[in-house]
Amino acid sequence: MLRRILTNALMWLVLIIAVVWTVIPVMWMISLSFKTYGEWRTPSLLPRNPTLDNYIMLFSPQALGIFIAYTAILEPIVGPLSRTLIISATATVIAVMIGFFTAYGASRYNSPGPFTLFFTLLTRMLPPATFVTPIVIYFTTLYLIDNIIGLILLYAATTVTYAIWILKGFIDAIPVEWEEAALLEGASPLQVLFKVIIPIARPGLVVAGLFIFLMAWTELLFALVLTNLNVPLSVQVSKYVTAVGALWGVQAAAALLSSIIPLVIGYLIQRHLITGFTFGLVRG
Amino acid sequence: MSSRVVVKLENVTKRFGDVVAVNNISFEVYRGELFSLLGPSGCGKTTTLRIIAGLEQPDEGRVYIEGVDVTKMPARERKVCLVFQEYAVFPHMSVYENIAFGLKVKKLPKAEIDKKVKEAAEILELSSYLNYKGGRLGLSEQQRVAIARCLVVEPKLLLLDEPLTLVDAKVRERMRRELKRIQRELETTMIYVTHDQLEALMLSDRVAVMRSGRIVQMGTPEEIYDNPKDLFVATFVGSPTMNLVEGVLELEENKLVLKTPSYKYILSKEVESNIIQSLLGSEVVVGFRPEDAEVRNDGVLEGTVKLIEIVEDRKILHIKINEDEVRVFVDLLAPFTEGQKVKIRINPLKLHIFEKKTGRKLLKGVVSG
Repeated sequence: MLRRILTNALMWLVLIIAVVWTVIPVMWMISLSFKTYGEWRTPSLLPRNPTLDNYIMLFSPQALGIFIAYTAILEPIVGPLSRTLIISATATVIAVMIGFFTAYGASRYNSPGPFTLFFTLLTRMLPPATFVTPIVIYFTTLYLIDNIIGLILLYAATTVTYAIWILKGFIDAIPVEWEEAALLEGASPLQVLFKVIIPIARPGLVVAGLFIFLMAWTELLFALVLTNLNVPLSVQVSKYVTAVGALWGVQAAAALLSSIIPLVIGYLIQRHLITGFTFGLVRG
Repeated sequence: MSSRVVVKLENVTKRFGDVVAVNNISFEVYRGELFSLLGPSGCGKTTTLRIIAGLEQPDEGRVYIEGVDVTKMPARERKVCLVFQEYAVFPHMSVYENIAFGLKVKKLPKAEIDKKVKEAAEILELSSYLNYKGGRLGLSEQQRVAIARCLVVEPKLLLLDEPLTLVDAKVRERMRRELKRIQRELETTMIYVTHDQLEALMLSDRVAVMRSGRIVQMGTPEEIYDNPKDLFVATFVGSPTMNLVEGVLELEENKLVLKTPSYKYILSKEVESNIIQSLLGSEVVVGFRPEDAEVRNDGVLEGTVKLIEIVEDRKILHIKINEDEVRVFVDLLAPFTEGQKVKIRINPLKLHIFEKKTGRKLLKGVVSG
């Protein structure tokens, strides 16, 4: 009896430490975003005079008038937010689509082997910094600098390999009999694809999509180098702390805002995520 | 080509790399017939089926469906349907949607689809499952859905690839009967692939026994069972398998005798010597089915009961005779005990004599009927 209580207590203790350990930085971020300027450097967890000023700053930098020095470099957060939404969503759709067809082909038709697909991992085997220079040079000549199309193409290209590998696993697990049965009952190859394969592979498409969306959403290095005025959210968040000074509270508010959308999306599709991660069990 | 012929295969050969999966096969299947391809795994029966369906291309030979050469025709245009051993049902669709699939892709009017789906569901006793998701069904229901899905598209030919192999034994028996009933009612032409000889014999109008990509013997179940062409068919068909004893045939005092290295078996008291003459002295395998021997006091072979098995409504005695063990059916209630000495008599009409070297059948029955 005593033993069990002790074990339970110990378990709870470990759990609490783990949760506190991971959550405290987030709590600090949340608390900081509600603190007034004077309190930014105080490590207390609860703001003494909670304020929405930081959030107002995000949406209209001129409204408060107290940080005039920064307003020149700061645009309202709505711009970067919508840019990032467009970039991430479009890049995800492109990468998942290309990835799906590549994976389907590799899985169903005798491709020259996994060795070819292996090369799609190339962009992921080098540190991204190594190919920043050529990208900058060529994007300049292609008018893709400071252009969201540039970022869309770049993100789609560098993440498509994830889509391929995730989806290949899913498509490999789909018995070819389902396709053959559909074909024999008179379905065209396109009907087989859209009525049989894609609905069955849907969890895989969702998993790959979410993964790529989050990568595009949080990417900073290329965004920083390739944009100037049309910055995405990740760059915008970094801009609140500059050589001129550090708007810690505003940055915390921006960070919180930028983490809410992935959180909401993740929550909405978690049902698919679970079926996605357990898809392998269908066969057993 | 007669209009009775639904499918005709002409010298069809299929290779996978160096392996010849199907080796120069020819046969015809007639309208309304249930034709089985029977053989051990790897004998090429499934490949043959897939060639007929158009899922595989033969390397040589031609395939005709209703007189039309379909060798190069894509699978979806052949109007042939296939029920697979497994994964027959789309998991993301309801039973209704599954059955309706083939009609929906043809864009038939909704009312007509509905009518056909419900009819098929009725025939296969699926009416109460129509709203279930495909992935949630048991295997036997899945196979029934697969058959219903094929029936609604009204194929010229229904192919079944071991559809009952994975179904529970009890349910399998019932489904076999249902399948035969449906086949008879709808007069569907079916080709049935199975490795289960009992299933093939029970269901089929005709059976083709396959081995290593070739058809060894083709005929009605009775012919296959009663008059196997060689040792392979003789042992593959029938359960328990045919009893086999190796030796040399000789005639002693007008009795047919099988001589093994250490013993002599008297097979039969009366023999028509002119039939047998040519076989004397050659190395043979003599076979007889467990039901073609009986235990009786005037039997010519004596042995000891080693083991008694009960199979359904009969007993099988495993009788050790000299070095060999043979199985003989007796009544369920016959009072035998293990260790008992018994005499058996083999029906001389039902003795199968095979050439040892080739397995080829030399003779059946050592006295004429």
